[in-house]
This record gives sequence, C-alpha cells and structure tokens, in this order.
Amino acid sequence: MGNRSKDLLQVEHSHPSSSRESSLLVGKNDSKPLQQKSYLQGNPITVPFPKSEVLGKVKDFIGVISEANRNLRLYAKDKPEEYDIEVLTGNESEYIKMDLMLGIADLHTPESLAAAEAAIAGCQSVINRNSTSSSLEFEGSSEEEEDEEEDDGGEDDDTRQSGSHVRHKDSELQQDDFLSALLRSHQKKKPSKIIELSVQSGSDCSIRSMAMATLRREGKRLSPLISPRPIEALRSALVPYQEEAHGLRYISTQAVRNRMKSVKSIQKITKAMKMVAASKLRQVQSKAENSRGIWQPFTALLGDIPSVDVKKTVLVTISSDKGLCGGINSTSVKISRAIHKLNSGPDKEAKYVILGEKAKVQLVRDSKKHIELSITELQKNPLNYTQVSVLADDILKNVQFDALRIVFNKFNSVVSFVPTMATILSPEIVEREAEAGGKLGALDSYEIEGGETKSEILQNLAEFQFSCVLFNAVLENACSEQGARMSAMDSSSRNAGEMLDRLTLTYNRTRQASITTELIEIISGASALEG
Amino acid sequence: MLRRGCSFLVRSCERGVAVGARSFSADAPAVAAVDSTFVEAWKKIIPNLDPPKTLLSYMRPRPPTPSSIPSKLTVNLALPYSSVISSKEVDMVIIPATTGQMGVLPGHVATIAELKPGILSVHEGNDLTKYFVSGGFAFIHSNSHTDIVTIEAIPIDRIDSALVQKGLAEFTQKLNSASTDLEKAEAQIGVDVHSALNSALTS
Repeated sequence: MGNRSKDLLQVEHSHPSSSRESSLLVGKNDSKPLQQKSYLQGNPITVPFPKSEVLGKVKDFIGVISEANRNLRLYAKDKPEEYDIEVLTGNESEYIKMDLMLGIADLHTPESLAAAEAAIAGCQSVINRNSTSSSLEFEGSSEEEEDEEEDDGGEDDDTRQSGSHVRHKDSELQQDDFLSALLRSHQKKKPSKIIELSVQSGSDCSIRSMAMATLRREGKRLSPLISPRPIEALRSALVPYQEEAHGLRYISTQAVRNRMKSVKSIQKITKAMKMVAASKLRQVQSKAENSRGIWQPFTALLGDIPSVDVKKTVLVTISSDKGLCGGINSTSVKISRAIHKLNSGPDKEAKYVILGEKAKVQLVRDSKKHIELSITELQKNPLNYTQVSVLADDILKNVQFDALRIVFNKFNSVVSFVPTMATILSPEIVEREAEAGGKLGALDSYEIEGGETKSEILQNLAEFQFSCVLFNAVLENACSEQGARMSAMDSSSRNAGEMLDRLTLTYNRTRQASITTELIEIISGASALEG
Repeated sequence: MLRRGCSFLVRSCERGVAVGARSFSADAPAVAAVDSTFVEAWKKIIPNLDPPKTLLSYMRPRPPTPSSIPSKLTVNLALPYSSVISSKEVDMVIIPATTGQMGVLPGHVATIAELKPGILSVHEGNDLTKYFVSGGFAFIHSNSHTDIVTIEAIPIDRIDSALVQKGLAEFTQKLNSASTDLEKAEAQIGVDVHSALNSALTS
C-alpha cells in the first residue's frame, strides 16, 4: 500500500495534465503497481497530511522511554526495594485513583453491614485472614468509589496492589497514615460518610476483608470492564446479573432515581402554582366582596323565583378558561345540564350562552345545537364593570329570552364553592307575574317615577339587573376558580410528596438488595474457590 | 344602551375626579329562603344533584312594612365596586330622578325611579353628604328602605372644576362636529354629564 501511494504521487507529478481519476482507475492502460492489490481498488484519493509536531514528539518519547525501560530493568535487578511500587513509604504526594464502581461501596451503614453479615454467616471460617489491614483497603476504595460515583470515570489504578501492600505491613500506624493521606487529599464531598467508615474500621472487618480478598482475585475478571466509562459498563453488567441471580424483579436504581427527580420537579411546579393562585385570589376576592351589594336591591325588589314557568330560557354558564382548578367547572356544567333538562319540554326550550373555555368544551360534546353564544378569554384584562356591561349588551342583543338563568360558583370561602343560579326575568314576564300576584304581586304597588311608561322602565331595569348580576357572578366565579386551583395544587403537592417518600423507600430497598446480591455472589465465589 | 351610556360618561367623568377609597361591604348572612316548588321539581328530575342555591338565600330578608311611619329612612347606595352606604339611618335623601331632584322622606310611597346623572344628597341631622352619581335606579320600598344602584358615585369635593370645564368644551365641540348618529349620541351624553357636573359644582 505504501507502494501504491508513492506510485500515485509519482503519477501526479509525471502526468500533470491527466485527470487524477483516470490515473486511479484500475484496468486502464496505466502502470502495474495499481493492479497489485485488488482490495485497494476504488480507494479515494489520499492526500498526505503535513507532518505534525506530535509525531516528532512521539518519536522522541519512544526513544526516551525505551532508554528508561532498559535502565529500570538493570537497576531493579540490583536494588529491588527501591523500585517496588507496592511498597509505600508514606511520603507520597500524588497517586492515581482507581474507580471500580462495584457497588460494594455503600456498605457503610450498620444495617446494611448486618444484612451482609447475616448473609455470609456460613462462610466465617474462610474469612478470618488479613483482618485489620484489608479493611483499610476496602475503605480506601470505597471512599474513592463514593466520590467517584458522580464523576465520569475513575482513573485506572493499582489500589488493590497498594492495598495488598498495606496487608503486608501490620502496623496500625501505617494504615492510619494511608487513610489520613487519602482523607486529606480527597476533599470529600460527603465528609460524614468517611468518618463513619473510619469509625467502623475497628468493628467487624471480616466481611470487608473477605470482600477485598475476593475483589483482588476477581480484579482480573473485572478489569476488562473498567473502561473509560465504568459506570455504564458495570451497571449494565450488574443489572442483568441481579435479575438473573434470584428470579425476583428488581427495578434498576437509575430508573427509580429518574422517577424521583421528575416527581420532585412536579411537586415544585404545583407548589409554585398554588402560590400564584393564592396571590390572584387575594386580588379578586376584595373586588368580589365589594360587588356583593349590587344585586341585593334587585332581589329585594323583584325576588328570585327560579320556578317561574317560561317558554324560553337562556342559560348563562360561567366557567374558567384555564384548567387545573379542581371540579368547579364540571359542577357548573352538571348543574347547567340539569337546568336545561328541567326547562326543556314540549313547548319549552332552553339555550346556552357559555362564558369560559372549559364549559364550552364540555357542552359542545352533547349539546352543540343548543349553544347560542360562547365567549372566551374573559379574564385577559382584570375584570371591570365596563367590560361586563358590554358583554351583557351583546348577549341581550343576540338572544331572545323569557328568563335568563346565570349559573356560577359562589365563593363562600377558600375551600367552599356553592353552585348558584340567579334568575332574571324579562319585562314581559315580570308584568305577567306581577298581575298574577304571588311573590311579585307587590310590584304593582310601586309607582313609576318619571315620564316613561312602566314597560320601558321595566325594560331598562331588566337590562341593568342583568349586567349587575352578571358582574357579580363573574367575579365570584373567578374567586372560586382561584380558590379551587389553590386547593387542587395543594393536594397534588402533597400527593407528590407522598409518592416521593414511597419512591425513596423503594430506592433504598433496591440499593440494599443489589449490595446484598453482589456480596453473596462474591462470597459464594470465594467459598467455591476456597472449598 | 343605558349602561353603555353610563359607562361612557363615567370614563369622561373620571378624568376630573380622584376616586377615593372604597369601603368594604358586609355580606349578608345566608338565610334559608328556598323556593320549594323549584326544589321539588328539581328533585323529581335530577335526584342525584343538590339544587343550586338562589340569590335570595344569600340575602338578609327585609323587614315588613310597619304600620306607622318610621322616623328614619334606611338607605343603601350600591356600586359595582363597593357599597358606599349600607343600611344607614338618615333623615332625607334627595335623588336626581329623570324628572328632576326628588326628595325621599320616611314613609314615602313605594316607587321605582330611574336616575339621570346628577347630585345625590344625604341628609343626616346636620350632616349633608353630596355625591355625584352617574345614572342608575332607585327603589323606594314601603318599609322606608331605599336602595340606590348606580355605576359611580363620587363625593363632590373630589371633582376638579377646571377639568369639568375643559370636558364640557370638548364635548360641545364634538357634538357640533359629529357626523354619525352614534357619535352624536355619545357627544350628547358627554355634554349632558359635564353640564350636570358643572351645575353640581356651582350649586
């Protein structure tokens, strides 16, 4: 192949006029070297790269390192103890860490320890060698694993070899030095856990020693797994391992953790929404309470008789535009449907005028032909009387009615919303009822002041009454919407919190189970090898 | 149409007016005044749901007509934004009805009066409170309760006369230059309100 590229170069120089492709084409009249290696046919043109300095550096380095290797071999033969990297003098300033990510690391709570102990109670005889020293190795590597867990990959190291060195020396002092050196340099993210470890070093070391012994042995088995991305490799190795081992179903801890993260973010969002709803409620509530005086005079004069028999009823259903506000919109729609049913008959009919997106969506499904008018985005600007009076004007112009029934949720308190229906009769019906006597009978006794006739006055009165009552109804419904949203978001935050608790328990259980499983594997492996 | 006109002239009023603090209205406690016919009809057809409440159930019932004329008049002045006066015992009220200023004393005959923009004065002993009201309605009941419902009621001392003059001039000019009926009507309403304001200030 070198031949070929050189030839290509020559071809370029010697035939500057001919096209490059023709020189490369096989089977053409050109030189034999092109036909030598058939598998290289059709290769694209390779242009030689300019010589990089890295290449020069590498060449130099190769010379240097071969020199150093030769020297090392010579001197190590003479003075082995100086070049033994397994002998720690305790004065090391730098070292390389190895992150095995075996999941053994988390065995630092007494409970998990006890569980592991119980699991391997049978293998006690095998374990009792190299007790104290090996515990340190374990702690060392576990500390590293603890910290490395978030990092993207540990560096390869001979921790186990240094650990085995520690095994040779029996003095506690050396071990403490090693441990303290590790402690100092690590700058732990989780200092409390490290302390726990050191405290426990005195306690039962049997399991850990056994674990480390097996780990050393198994290190050879595991080393191919210690790739630049140990986390994924090991985890994927571990997960099916666990599932096959016992025939039980283990959710991977990663999946549980993901779910916990999403549940926590949902909880935050719903808490924020509750705060927003609370502040909006404060604003609207004062308005709504102030507006309660305006419909009372009309009701005092005319009463409120929902059972009036009328031919044409127009149902004004008030709902919200946005969702996540609990069940108030469904309640309003249910009541509207019921009133519609009540007021429909052979000679009676009822029509809808819908305010708000949510009721429209629900009513369009089954009562589409009864809907006269639907208005949305009422609360784009803060509610005021002018807007509502224009709206009332629109409605009055476009629908014929004998009675107008406004269905809304009255705001009693932050947790109580009462579905309410307000009735407004058209002037003709009012007159009819007044003549008939009954509740409106007293109306006749009222004199009409002014030059206008009674019917005109009653017309104006009905319109004014409608706009005032509608204003109050819209405000009350807005209050109810915010209150309902507050309580809905509150209960969903609470549910999210409970779910988070449950998930945390599952996560811990899964984690401990995986630790136990791994331990059992190692122990049974060790005992198999021993036995 | 009436309301639209009212709201229109309210907007023009407010240019010269500083609106004061609104008083909170007390909500009447719920009294069970239920319409039994309705409830029965409801229960027959829709047995599962509770019938909706009516507005009557949220109102304190009014006292019946006393046999003798009471000494004081109970007045309620309600706005969409607040109840300026609620259940206040006064001696006399003068309301700006369409036919002119009308005085209301205890024992007045039951009346429904439509109001035009003008001054409402409340006389309580030696106190006299004047409000400029945009149009509305006044109900005088036989039990010496008076309900006045308007869109805006502003104490006179909050009205700026300079702005009133300016507004009057502006609307007169608009009236003269108006082409369509709608514009004419709007300009006319503006002129009416401002002249009423003017006379309110001068009187």
